[in-house]
This record gives sequence, structure tokens and C-alpha cells, in this order.
Amino acid sequence: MSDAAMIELRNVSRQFGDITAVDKLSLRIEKGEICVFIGTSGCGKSTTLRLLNKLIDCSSGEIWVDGEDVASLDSKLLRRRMGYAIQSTGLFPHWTVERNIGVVPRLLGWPADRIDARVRELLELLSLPYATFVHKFPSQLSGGQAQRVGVARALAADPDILLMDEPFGALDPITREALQNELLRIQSHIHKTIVFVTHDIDEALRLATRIVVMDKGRIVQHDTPENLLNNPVNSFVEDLLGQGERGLKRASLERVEDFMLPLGAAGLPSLSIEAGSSLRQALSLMLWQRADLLCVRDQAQVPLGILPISALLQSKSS
Amino acid sequence: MTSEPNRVVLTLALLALLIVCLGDFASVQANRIVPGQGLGLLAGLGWPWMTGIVVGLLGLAGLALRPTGRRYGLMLGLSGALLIQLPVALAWFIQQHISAEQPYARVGLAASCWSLLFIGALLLVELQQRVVAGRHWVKLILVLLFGVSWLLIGTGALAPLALLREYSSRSSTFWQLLYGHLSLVGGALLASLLIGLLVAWLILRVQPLQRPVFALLNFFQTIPSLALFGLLIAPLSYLSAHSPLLQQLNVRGIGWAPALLALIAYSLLPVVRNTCVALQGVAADVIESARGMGMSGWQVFTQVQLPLALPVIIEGVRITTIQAIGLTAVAALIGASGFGSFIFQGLGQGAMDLVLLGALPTIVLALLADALFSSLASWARAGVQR
Ligand SMILES: Nc1ncnc2c1ncn2[C@@H]1O[C@H](COP(=O)(O)OP(=O)(O)OP(=O)(O)O)[C@@H](O)[C@H]1O
Ligand SMILES: [Mg+2]
Repeated sequence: MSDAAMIELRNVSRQFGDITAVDKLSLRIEKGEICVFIGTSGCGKSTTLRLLNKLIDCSSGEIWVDGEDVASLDSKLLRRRMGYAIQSTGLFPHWTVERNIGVVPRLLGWPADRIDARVRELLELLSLPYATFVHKFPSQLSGGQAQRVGVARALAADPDILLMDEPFGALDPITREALQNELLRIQSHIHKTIVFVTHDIDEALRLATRIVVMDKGRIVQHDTPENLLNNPVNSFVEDLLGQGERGLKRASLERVEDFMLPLGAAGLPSLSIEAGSSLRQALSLMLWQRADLLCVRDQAQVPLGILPISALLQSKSS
Repeated sequence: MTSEPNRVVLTLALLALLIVCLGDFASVQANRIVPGQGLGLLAGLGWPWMTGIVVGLLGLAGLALRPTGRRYGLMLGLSGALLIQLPVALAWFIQQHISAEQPYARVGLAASCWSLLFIGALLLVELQQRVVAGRHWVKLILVLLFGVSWLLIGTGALAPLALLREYSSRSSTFWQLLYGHLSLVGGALLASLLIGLLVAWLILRVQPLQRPVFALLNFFQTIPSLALFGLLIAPLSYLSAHSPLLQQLNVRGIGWAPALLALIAYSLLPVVRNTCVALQGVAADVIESARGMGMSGWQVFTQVQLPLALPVIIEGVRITTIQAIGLTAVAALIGASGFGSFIFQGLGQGAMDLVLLGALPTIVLALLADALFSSLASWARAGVQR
């Protein structure tokens, strides 16, 4: 392997009978990135994910993980190195939250006290109070709680790679957004390589380092969210992005602090916005308050700059 | 607050009242051969006792008209009292009508005695759900009932009961038959579990086998038990005649061998079917995530599939066991040891009490097996979903 690509697919195909679920896929996923797969139902996203941890085998092609050809690896050992979380959670209904989260560490033969410490740590990380949840059974959890536990289980043995198949699907928008924020927060601490499948373009744009758009088992475009928005390769990607809302979608990826102007001598505008907010939020505030000028402040409310409406139209300052 | 009458209790109480007033309570026989003479409540127990029973039943019916929480407690108490007084009433009956100079005289239970027993049991079932801690009260009542009966049997006060007379002249045979019955059922259960789990495992792996295997097992199930016992006689006799080893094991055309084979054949269907249904019923995503976590095939099976399937598998074992207990009684016809021997002897001799001596323990065994496996299943279910 040439360099640090954590996962590399080379010409990977998978047939089910005469259906080609994955068709000559080639792809590099770098260490520490969140690679999001998106595409229409049945385009082969889940199949690709399952190929990575050898839940199914390739019909042809090679998959390399961390410098090793997965064909040469024992599938059980490979899977214990990769966290796996799925939409329906697949939590073991006969085990408590504690036992569910501890399953991979137990398979790896960790001592009990280390498992216990890890379970505490993970429940805290995912904002599930230890005492409340540790002895609950999956049937006693809400959908969002169950998906958190599913994510905690995937993280348990501290794998370098996380495979997540619509882990936040089937959740209401508010819970979903909270979990997305949590994932980003966690990722900023743990720097895993995450392969994430979703149906939701906003989720993809918000989470991804790079997005893989798939159609009929092939890659249509593999790009950063910005590039995807700015240069969709064809009408399929344009449709996926939602024609009428592209401007807003891009604005939601851009941050106010990158567009603000220095504080002038004139007095501060009365309306304020936080520097980390998105341009979309700034625009919304302007539209709502019928204001054309905002004051940009940091979290401690210290003024950093101003944001006139004309600044939103500039290309990003570097 | 007005409440609906409890129709179940009302009906049961009135029915019991009707039978008690019209039917005989027990009958007296001078010996095993002569026909017995039936005596009603009044003639058998005298008017004070009769009044007690009638008032008790009327009270039950009255309370059932306007039930409240408290009245349900009273009803349960009355039902318990009606049950517990039965052995005492019988002892009283025996005292009144059998003298010590009649060593062969016996007392048979008649319609109103039986109906009080059964209706009392049904009342307990109905009332147990309606009273706080009903199950514990019912347990207490049953313990008292058995305790009182046991005491009275121990003192010899109930010795002239026909059932006990039959037992005491055959007590060693009784225990042999119990042993024979249990070992046949146990053997068949063990063998069919081993074979059944294996078969289930196999046909889950090799899907095309599923149809023919179930067809075969269903076919066994449709052969009447007597016919299957009969069909096995000829081949087993032949095999036994040609193999000294089989002769040493006492494998012959009749006896335990054909019975065991037939029992296994009948037991396989419930075991295999429930095991298959149970294992297939484990959610696919749970199995996928078990594999995705890096469990080996064996770990997925023992840690995930089996525990999740266990309640349904145990249910299959429960059905199998109860079925085998009944079939073993029939197997007495081809010489297999079991309580069926008493039943068929009794039928042959026209001695109904001997039939009862075989039938009652068979029923008790089936009830015990039912209770045992039901609680096992609910224990396993509690482990699955809380
Ligand atoms: N085990 C299987 N056996 C047969 N066909 C399969 C199997 N798994 C997937 N397929 C087929 O492969 C294709 C891709 O399926 P896949 O599950 O990867 O889609 P997906 O992109 O995850 O879709 P969705 O968004 O609906 O989850 C589909 O046509 C599906 O029917
Ligand atoms: Mg999918």
C-alpha cells in the first residue's frame, strides 16, 4: 500500500444471483475521515458496508484495510477490530445495556473491571446516565436511546474503524440532529475512520469529510460536501441535492466567522450571532428580523466582527 | 358502586348445588364384586353436614351476584372450605357406614363428591385471578387439602376408600409401574430431544430437506398410536429373533422397545417444529449484528439464537412430555410397563376403581409435567424480554 488509506476498495463487485449489488467499485477512505455513502434504496450501500467486515464476500476485486488484504484475514478477528452499528440496532434483547455494550470486549477477553470501566465511559460519552441505563433491557429503551446504545456497542473495543448503516434512521429530526452533533463531538475526540450510510442528504452534508454518491452499485461522485454542492457531476447528483435548496444547503456548511468583516468604527449592530453558526442561520435571522447587518460574537459574547448581508454573497475568504 | 355478577362462579355454584342435591355422594360395597349402594348427601352424611355444604354453595352463588374485592376473598375462602372438607366428609361417611368387622367393604366416590372436587378446582382457577395474592391463597388451600387427606389416609380413616383398597393390594406394583412409566417417558424425551435438535439443526442448514422431513414427521403423527405399536411388533420380533444382543437387552416385539420407538416417533414432530420455528424466529438483524460483532458461528448459536429460542423450544418439550405420558398409558397394551396396566386390567375386570388407580396418577403426572415446563418456559421468557 502506498500510504495511509485506511480502507481501499479495488474493483470490488458483488453479485446476488443475477443482481449486481456492487459493480466494480474502487474507493479510498483515508484515516480519520467520515466517509458517507448516499444513494437511492437498493443501490448497494449496505452491501458495500457488509463487504468491508466480511459479513459477505466479494465476488471479485480486493479490499484492503489498514494495509492488509481482508481476504487473508480471519473474519471474526477483523470484525472485532471494526465497530458495526445498524439502523434496527440489532441489540441483543436478552441482554442488559451493560452486556450489550460489553460484547466485543468480552469476546476479546478483557478483564471484567476493564469492561465495566469502559461501559461507564461510553454511557457517559453518549449522554446516557449510567445508573439509569446500565441494567435496562433493549425493550425498555426509546428508539433514540437504543440507537445510542448501538453506537456505544460499536465503539466499545475502541476500534479504528466504525461502520454505521443508517444508525440514526427511523428517528425524529430533533433526536437525529442531537445524535449527529454527538457523533461529530465524539469524532473530534476519537478520530476514528467512519464509514456511514444514510438516505438523508442533509445528514450526509453535515457529517461527511467526503461523500460517496452511489447509483446501481456504482460510484457516481466521490467528493467533499462543498465540491458536491458546487460541482455536481450530473443530474442524478443534482436531484439528490434537491435543486431548489442548493444555496441553502451550501450556506449551512459555511460558517459565519469565515465571512465576517472586521469591526468598524461605527457602533455595534443590535442583533448578534455566534461566530460558529452557519451562514444559513445568519440568513434566517436576517430574513426573520428584516435586518441587513449582524454583530458576530464569540461564545463569551465578545464582539469579533460584523456581518452585512452583502458579505453572504462573497466567495469564502481564506 | 354496582358490579356485574360473576357468571362463572354463579353458574359453577348452582351447578354444584344441583348435582349435590340430586346425585349420590358416595357408595358402599360389601366387597369388590357386589354392586354398590349409592347414598346421597342426606343419607350419607346426615343433615347437619348437608346443610353446611348447601349453605356454602348458596353463599357462593349469593356473593357472586354482587362481587366486590372483599367478597371475592370470601368466595375463595368458601371454595377452599368446600374442597378441604371433602376428605373429612369422606372419613365421616366411612365412619357412619362401614364397621371394622367388614374388612372387604369399600366406599366408592359418586357423582356429587366428584363434582364438588372438580367444580371446586374450577372455582379456584377462576377466583385466583380476582383476589390479591390469589395464587398464594390457592397454593395454601391445595397444601391444606393434601395435608388433611394425607393425615386421614395416615390414620387409616380413609382406608376403606375403593381406590385405596385397590392400591393397598397392589402397592408394590404401583411403584413399579410409576418407575416404568417415568423411565419410558424420560427415555423417549431424552432421545427425541437429541434426535430432534439434530434434525432441526440439519434442516435449517439444508433447506430442501425441510419439506420431506416435516412430511415424514407429520405422517408419524397421523398414525393412530395403537396401529403404530402394532406395526412395530413384527419387525422387532424378527430382529430380536436374529440377534442375541437384542435378546439380552430384552428387546422384543412387545415390551418397552416398540413403545419407546413409537414414543420417539410421535415426539419428534413437536420438538423439531418448535425448534425450527423458534430458531427461525430470531430476528435477522440480531443475528447479523452478532456476527458483525465478531462472534463465531457457535457463539452466535449458543449466546444469541438458543437463549432467544429457548421459551418456544421448551414449549415443544412440554407438549412432547404430556403427549408421551398419555401414550405410555396406551403402550401397556403391548406390554410396556406403565399405569396403563391398571387401566386395562381394570377395564377387563370391570373394576372401575382399578381403572382410576391407573388413570388418576397418569393425569397427575401430566399436570405436574405441564406445571414444570410452563414455569421453565416462563423463566426462560423472563430471560429473553423483561
Ligand atoms: N443477501 C442478499 N441476497 C440477495 N440479494 C441481496 C442481498 N442483499 C442485498 N441484495 C440486493 O442487492 C441490492 C443492494 O442492496 P443493499 O442492501 O446494499 O441496498 P441499500 O443501498 O443498502 O438499500 P437501502 O437504502 O434500501 O438500505 C438490492 O437489489 C438487494 O435486493
Ligand atoms: Mg441498506
